[in-house]
Amino acid sequence: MVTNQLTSSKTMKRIIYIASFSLVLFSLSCCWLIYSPQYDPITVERLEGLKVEILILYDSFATESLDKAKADSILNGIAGMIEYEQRRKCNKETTAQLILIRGMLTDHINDRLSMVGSWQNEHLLNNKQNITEAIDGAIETERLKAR
Amino acid sequence: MSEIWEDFISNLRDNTGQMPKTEIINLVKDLSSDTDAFLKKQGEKLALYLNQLAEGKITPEQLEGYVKDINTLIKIQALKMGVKTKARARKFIRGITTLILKELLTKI
Repeated sequence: MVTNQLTSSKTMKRIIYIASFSLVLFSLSCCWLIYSPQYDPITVERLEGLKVEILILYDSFATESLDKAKADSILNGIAGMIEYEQRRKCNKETTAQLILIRGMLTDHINDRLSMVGSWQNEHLLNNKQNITEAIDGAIETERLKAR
Repeated sequence: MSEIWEDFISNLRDNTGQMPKTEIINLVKDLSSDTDAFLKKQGEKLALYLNQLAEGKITPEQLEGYVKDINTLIKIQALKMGVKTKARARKFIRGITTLILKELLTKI
């Protein structure tokens, strides 16, 4: 009888131990889900759209005409994207990347605005490559969140 | 055989004799042969820009803009790769800023 009671007490302890351990694991998983960055296809779609718009703008910088209104509209679009990204949880990387992209784009626009002529072929290709790499970096970062 | 950009830097007139030409050449070479594909690409671009500068296809101001772009790209990559890469990336940002912006471009 005493042996039976001892055995059942040991079994109880084991069950409590396993239950506590499972609860801790469950809580940790919940925390990870809440506080880990989440993939957002809207962000990728917007970044891809932004890339196309900027490349078309840069092509126009190689001509005599300068569409300042279009450049301003793209910069406003990025401001909207930054606001959207700031509202997402655990998203400081993408937000910071967009701020860096805006900085690079602003420098390129100011470079063209300060010129008398248009961008020469090498300058156009170099700037296009750098802004493309910047936006692709942000797209890859967002895609990493899906893994 | 040395490349156009190497000769260009080596032959730059440096009245003060304080320009770290070897360090600049080594920085570009180190980056161009880095095992990390991203950093290697940035090094190759830097060499291309220096070639374009040597050939008169771009201006020193434009090169300055590209170096700034590379710094931005390294920061974007560091945000992507996390803390471990950040430390290494910072080392290259320091190198590029000090050697290219402060030493090379102020003396061209």
